[in-house]
Amino acid sequence: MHAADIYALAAGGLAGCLGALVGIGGGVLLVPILNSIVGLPFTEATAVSLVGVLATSSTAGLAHRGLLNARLAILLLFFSVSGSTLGAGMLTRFPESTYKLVFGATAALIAGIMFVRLNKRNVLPVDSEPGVLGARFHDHDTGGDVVYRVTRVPVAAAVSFGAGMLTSLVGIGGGILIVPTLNSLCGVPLRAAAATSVLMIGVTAVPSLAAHWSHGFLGDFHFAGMTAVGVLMGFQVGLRLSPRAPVHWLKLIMAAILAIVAAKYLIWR
Amino acid sequence: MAMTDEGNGTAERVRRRDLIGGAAFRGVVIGLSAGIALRVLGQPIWAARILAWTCGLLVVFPVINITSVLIDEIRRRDWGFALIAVTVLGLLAYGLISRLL
Repeated sequence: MHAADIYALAAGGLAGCLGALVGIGGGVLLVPILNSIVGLPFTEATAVSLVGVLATSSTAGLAHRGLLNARLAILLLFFSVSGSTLGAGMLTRFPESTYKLVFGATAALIAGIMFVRLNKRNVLPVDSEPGVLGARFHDHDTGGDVVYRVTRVPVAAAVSFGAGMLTSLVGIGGGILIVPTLNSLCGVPLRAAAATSVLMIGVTAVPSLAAHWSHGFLGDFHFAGMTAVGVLMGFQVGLRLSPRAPVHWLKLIMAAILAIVAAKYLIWR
Repeated sequence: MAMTDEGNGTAERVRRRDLIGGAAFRGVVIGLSAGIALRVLGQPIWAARILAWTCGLLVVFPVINITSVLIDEIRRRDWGFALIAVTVLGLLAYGLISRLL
C-alpha cells in the first residue's frame, strides 16, 4: 500500500467522522486533500469525492431515523437533482482552472456560513398545525413533541438548485449549504434539517457521479474504494465520539481550514 | 401535514428501507474490502471490476429512499407528491442511462 492510499483512506476517514460529528458530507474537505495531498487531478478528486459523499449519505441515512421530512426532501430534490443534471452537462465545457475557482469561491462561502451559522430552534406550540410541508416528531433529548412549519420554500428551492449544480461541478454534497438555509431561513429545526439534507445529498450526487464515471474521471476506482472505506470507518468513529465532541470548536476549526483552502484555490493557484 | 420517519404510519417504510438498505450496506462493505484486498494481492483488474460494481451499489441507496417515499405517497393518494417523486426518479434514470449505457 502506497502513501497516497493511506492519505486517501485518511481523507475518507476525516470526511466520514465530520459527517457524523458536524452533519456534512465532507466533499468540501475531500476535494482539496485528494487534489493537493494525494495528488489526483482536480476532476478525479471531484469524482472520488462524490463516491465519498454517497458513502456518507448511505451510512448516515441508516443512522439518522425519526427526523427526516420526506415530503420536504422530495420537493427540494426536484430542484437539486435538476441542478445536478444541468451541471453534469457542463463538466468538460470549461478549463480546469474555472472549476478550481468555483471550488475556491464555494469554500469561502461555506467558511463564512460556518463562522456565522445560527442554530434556531424553530419550534411551534405542540397543538399548532404544521401545514403541508411542516412536520411533527418526538424529540428524544427533551422528551417532548416538536412541531414546525416550513417557510420561504422558494429560497430553499433556489439554494437546492445551486447546491445540485455545485455537486456536479466541484464534487461537494451541498449539505453545508442546504442545512443552514433550512434552519436559519425556512423554519426547520436543525436536526430535522440535517436528516433531510443527508437524504438529499446522496440522491443529488447520483447524476453527477454518473457523468464523472462516463468521462473516466474515476480512473481504476482504486482511490474511490479507499476513500469510501475511510468514510465508512470514519463515520463509525464519529458516531462514538459525538456525545463528548466539542462540535462548536470543530466547526470553527473546520471554517478556518476552509478559509485556507479557499485562499489556496482563489489566490495561490 | 408532512410525515417524519416516526409519525403518520411510516414505520413500515422505515422497516422496508432498513431491510433493503442494510443488505445493500453489507454488500458495499464486502465489495470494498474485497476490491482493496485484491489490489493489495496484485490483481488490479479484478479489483477495479469489483470496486466499480460496489460504487454502482452505492447508487442503490438513494433510489431505495425515493422509491420508498413514492410508495408511501401513492398509498396516501397524494398524487402531487407522488408525481414529484416519479419526476425525481425519472431524472435519476435519465442521468444514469444517458451517461452509463
